[in-house]
Amino acid sequence: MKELVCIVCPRGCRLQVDEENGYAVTGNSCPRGAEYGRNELKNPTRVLTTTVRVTGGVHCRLPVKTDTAIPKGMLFQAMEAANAVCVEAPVQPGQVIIENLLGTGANLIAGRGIGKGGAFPDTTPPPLRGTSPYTGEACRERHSNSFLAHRPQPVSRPS
Amino acid sequence: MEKLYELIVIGGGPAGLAAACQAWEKGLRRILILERDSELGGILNQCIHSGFGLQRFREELTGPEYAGRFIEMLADTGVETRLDTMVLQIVPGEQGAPHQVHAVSAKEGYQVLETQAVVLAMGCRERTRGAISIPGERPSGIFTAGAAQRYLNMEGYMVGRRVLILGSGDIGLIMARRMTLEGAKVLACVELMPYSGGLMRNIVQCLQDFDIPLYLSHTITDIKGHDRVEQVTVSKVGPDRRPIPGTEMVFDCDTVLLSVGLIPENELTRAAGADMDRRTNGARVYENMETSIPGIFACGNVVHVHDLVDYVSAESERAGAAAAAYVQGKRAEVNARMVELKNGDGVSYTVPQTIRADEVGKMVDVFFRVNRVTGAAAIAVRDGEGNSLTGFRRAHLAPGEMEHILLPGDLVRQAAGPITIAIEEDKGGAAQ
Repeated sequence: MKELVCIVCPRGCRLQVDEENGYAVTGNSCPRGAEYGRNELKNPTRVLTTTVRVTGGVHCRLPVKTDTAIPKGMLFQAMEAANAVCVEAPVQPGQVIIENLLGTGANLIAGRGIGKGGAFPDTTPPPLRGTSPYTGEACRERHSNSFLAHRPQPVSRPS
Repeated sequence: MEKLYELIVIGGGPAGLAAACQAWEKGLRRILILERDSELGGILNQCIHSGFGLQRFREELTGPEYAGRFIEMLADTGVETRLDTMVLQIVPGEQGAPHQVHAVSAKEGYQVLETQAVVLAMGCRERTRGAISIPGERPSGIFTAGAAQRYLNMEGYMVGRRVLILGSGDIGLIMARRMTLEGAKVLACVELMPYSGGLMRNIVQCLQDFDIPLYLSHTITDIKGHDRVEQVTVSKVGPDRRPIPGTEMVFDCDTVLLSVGLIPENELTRAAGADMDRRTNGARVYENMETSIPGIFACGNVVHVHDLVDYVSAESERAGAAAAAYVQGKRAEVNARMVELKNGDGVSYTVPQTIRADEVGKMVDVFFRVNRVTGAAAIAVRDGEGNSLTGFRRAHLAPGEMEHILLPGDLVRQAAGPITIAIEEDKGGAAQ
């Protein structure tokens, strides 16, 4: 008998799963909890949410998610695949970014739309901006003055 | 002066969007949303994780997806929006005169707008290191979890490589997972209280999934580092929440994330002169989310901090509908009979704080938080004379989980004196 906390919804039911008895689940308040309890012991899966680089848009990162849960053990591999991707604006909500991610059958899809815009116009990867003062690692992910680019131009004071 | 609006909504996050949509639905046609960011959606835009909308849409959406649903709904209405616009002041109108909203933007300069009703939907902000007085040096590398979330998810900056998280609020837990997936090492999550401030599901899927230890009844007692955080000392605390000498653990890390609570952002509310509630740090509201100033309503995290955006949307729709009713002339009686809601044992606050007995419909939504973790308990509702009005059973209660009950309107109308809501952990005598 294994005790689990269900993560399907914020209710957080305390589940008991009986591995020796056909993975019978008790303590759940809905069928999805029973399914979660069974899967969690046989083949735990998670929906992955992360971001990918986007160029030529009003933002520099695009939120993405897998459209179905993928095996929990593949999360880090999936992150590598997502971090290798760079898409170009405009992006439509729900647009497929990576089809059949790592052969899992799940697609990585866009969580929102991103219009073409002026803030991040360059379509070439940003240059390395030296090493981080605190980790010593090359700063590949840094974008040039992304804060400043958002700032509206100064205007004259109203009289 | 520009045209007279029927409703100005301050804030274009989940609360403001839901309130504006609902007010449109109820027949208002001159509605304006003022938003200080360059897009609608508020904090949902940086909450890229999923888990939103399970109550409302019966599916698990990410933050941007949830915001997207409401932004789409808004696009089908004629609600105006002004982005990159910061509201500076609200001047309530005297005796039913229009309220003034002073705002400023780079594009339009200083604006004074007039409106019949206002919905306050400014949300909340995070408590910082200064708010909780963490001892130690003052290097860079100490972020509130939400600020780090914005850097990582929207601006594309990785804020650190070896991370310690103080506080077990949901944003901190979500960031523990997010930083881990992005390749950082999250050393521990440290919580002052003997219980977690976040949802149980987040402890499981954000900490346990990645073997990140959670230290309950612990806190940071020193931070070392000249330019950047180098070392953090964590100590166990006693029941009085004071550090116990000799229990120190030292972590080598470059980043500290703080998830130590949220404060409703009420500068505008206070300056406008609305009655505030010290327990929620928000305005005192009636059952229809109206503040003490007639025609000014408030909803969402600016009233009290919610766990789930689904509840924010529902509450904001009630505020939007009430604002529409106000504009359409259905105003509350000046001398309406008031029933106070009081927090009894085990309850930290209630929203609404006051119910206008003659205004209530069939049911009144009441939200509150408990101040301790309990097992099976009864939520007891009693009148001024201590008579039990009704009761609700719960299998467990925790401060990290907001409670919601529906009080029958008839009960409220017939109640003698103030109504007290309390937790009774005993043998179930109060529950009926």
